[in-house]
Amino acid sequence: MEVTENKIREWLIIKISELTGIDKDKVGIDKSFSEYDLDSVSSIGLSGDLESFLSMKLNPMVLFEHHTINKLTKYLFEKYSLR
Amino acid sequence: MKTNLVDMLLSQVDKTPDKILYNILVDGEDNVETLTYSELKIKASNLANKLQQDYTKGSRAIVLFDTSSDFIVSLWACLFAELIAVPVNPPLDFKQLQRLLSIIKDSEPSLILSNSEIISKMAFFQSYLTNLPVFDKIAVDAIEYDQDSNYYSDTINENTNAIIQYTSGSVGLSKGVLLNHQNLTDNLYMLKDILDEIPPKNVEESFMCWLPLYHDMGLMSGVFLAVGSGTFSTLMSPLMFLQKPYRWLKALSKYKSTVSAAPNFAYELCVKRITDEQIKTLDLSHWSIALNGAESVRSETINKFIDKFSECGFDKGALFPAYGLAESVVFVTANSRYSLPVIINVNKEELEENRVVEEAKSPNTITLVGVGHTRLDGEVIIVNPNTNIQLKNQQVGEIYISSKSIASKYWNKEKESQETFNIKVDGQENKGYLKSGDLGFIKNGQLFITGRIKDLIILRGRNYYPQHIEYTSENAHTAFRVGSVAAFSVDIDNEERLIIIQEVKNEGNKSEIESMINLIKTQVLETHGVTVYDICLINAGTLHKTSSGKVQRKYCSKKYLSKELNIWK
Repeated sequence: MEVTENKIREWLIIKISELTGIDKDKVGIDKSFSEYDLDSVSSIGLSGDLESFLSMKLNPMVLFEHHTINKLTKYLFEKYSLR
Repeated sequence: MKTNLVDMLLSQVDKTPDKILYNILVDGEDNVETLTYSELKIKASNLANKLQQDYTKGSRAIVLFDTSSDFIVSLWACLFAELIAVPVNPPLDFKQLQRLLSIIKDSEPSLILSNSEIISKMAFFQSYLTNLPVFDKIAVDAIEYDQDSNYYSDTINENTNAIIQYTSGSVGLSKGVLLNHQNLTDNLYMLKDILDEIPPKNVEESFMCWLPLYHDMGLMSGVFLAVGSGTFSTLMSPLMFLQKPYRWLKALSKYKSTVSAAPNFAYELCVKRITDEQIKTLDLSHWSIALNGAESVRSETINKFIDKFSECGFDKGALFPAYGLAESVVFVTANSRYSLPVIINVNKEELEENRVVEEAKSPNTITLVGVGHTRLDGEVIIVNPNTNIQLKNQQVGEIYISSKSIASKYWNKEKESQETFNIKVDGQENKGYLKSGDLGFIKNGQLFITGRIKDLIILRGRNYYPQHIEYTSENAHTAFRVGSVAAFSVDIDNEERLIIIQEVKNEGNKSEIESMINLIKTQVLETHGVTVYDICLINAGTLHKTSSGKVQRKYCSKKYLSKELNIWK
């Protein structure tokens, strides 16, 4: 699989939509994760799913450190490119 | 049998110096750090030697680490040097920082043992650290160990204070349970007796623990039990577990662990998040004690877990519900290895009248999972908390406990200590009991927990369990968040009134507010026969919970009365 920024962003939007029940089109890419219904167990769990998706190790707190879909996507893509 | 942890460790070091004691899975997977019995002795006694030069015995030392060999070495160094260890988790957010600060204020430590990274992060919060007692900060990772200098206090005995274990209450309300060596070893040998009574089949006993080590259940099942049993423990951080719950079961599988403990939600998380592909890589046939404790044990979870993991060789007799509390180190009751959990259905209305009537499962019953029989050399009795008279079997009352595991008091809290420890029961004035605050009953020697006494709602002389009403409320509408609801009573115009606070999902439709409130009202009335005085729908994620995720009903009632709720409107 070729990983691009768009693919990461799309993946995150789908995941957030699944976890919160919010319609995919209504997931805001610049909205802070803390504004969604995400508790810390789900946020840390999502970092684990991201590890599997990108086949790389991530800090469990990555969603707290890069707290919007756009910021997280940018961070992940840079980290992925340097791996 | 040793009556202090230091003798227990040192005698085992003499027997098996080169045996691995702790396997620490740093990344939850293949990056493994190990500590042998003698390596632990050398490092901890070396650090103890430094500590005893600067700090007097009985000083408090906050031990502030995530799961790591530095945590373990620091903890044992405190025990060697006779400092009282106060284990706390490094704060990950502002709420946890506040918890740390309130523990610092309460325990008045002389020092914090931590690592360079955490200490530099703490410097960042320096502005919050004003008005605190003065203490040193020691970065244990930067210490150079010197083989020749070591120290073990020679005055440690069963009465020596060892650890202050803070309960998981909300900030400011958390109490420090003061535990001495006798409390800890008594509880440890109680568990070891259960393990030795029926040993595991064809495999060496060993432990696997991802629970936080600053918490009583992690400390006992992850750090001390392996030493008491002369075997080893496999450890990982709770963050590694939460990131991928598969790592827990994978580690159990790889290290052939026989004993591992977790609260109910962790078993639920495994059922939800572990994939069919991952299941094929697991062998859980060695796991003979899957301890389920620290929160309510749910029969649905037990059944789902068995359904999903029996194909990995998981034995349903391994499911091991248990009950305990920090005031008694951690364990009070449990069953035997390989025995099946006892599950019963009881009539709800009878239960509200404090009577236990078993009947076929129906909408009028609730399902309860037995949490075992007492294994301490003391006793567990059921008492009417208003009259202090002991109740008979199958009558519901407060659980009172007496044993050597029970702490003598809370640190720095005289009033709360007097209300909790050494309580007299009518007709047995020569004995003192711990008042657990939990309600339950005993049936055929098995203890069943029905709720927390301070949460019980009493309306016109009748008892209502908040969790039953909350269940009705959270299921009244699909936009309600499950597990984020509080039912409690408050005194309004000299009468106790039922209040419900329910979180609504963000995508809930605000034009439905009125009908949502009516749904709760009618369903609670139909199911429980009681009128709700007031219902507040609040924003998602704003209900008050403890650090371990339990709803704080008392705190919610305060916020309700002071009108500080985040109303969804």
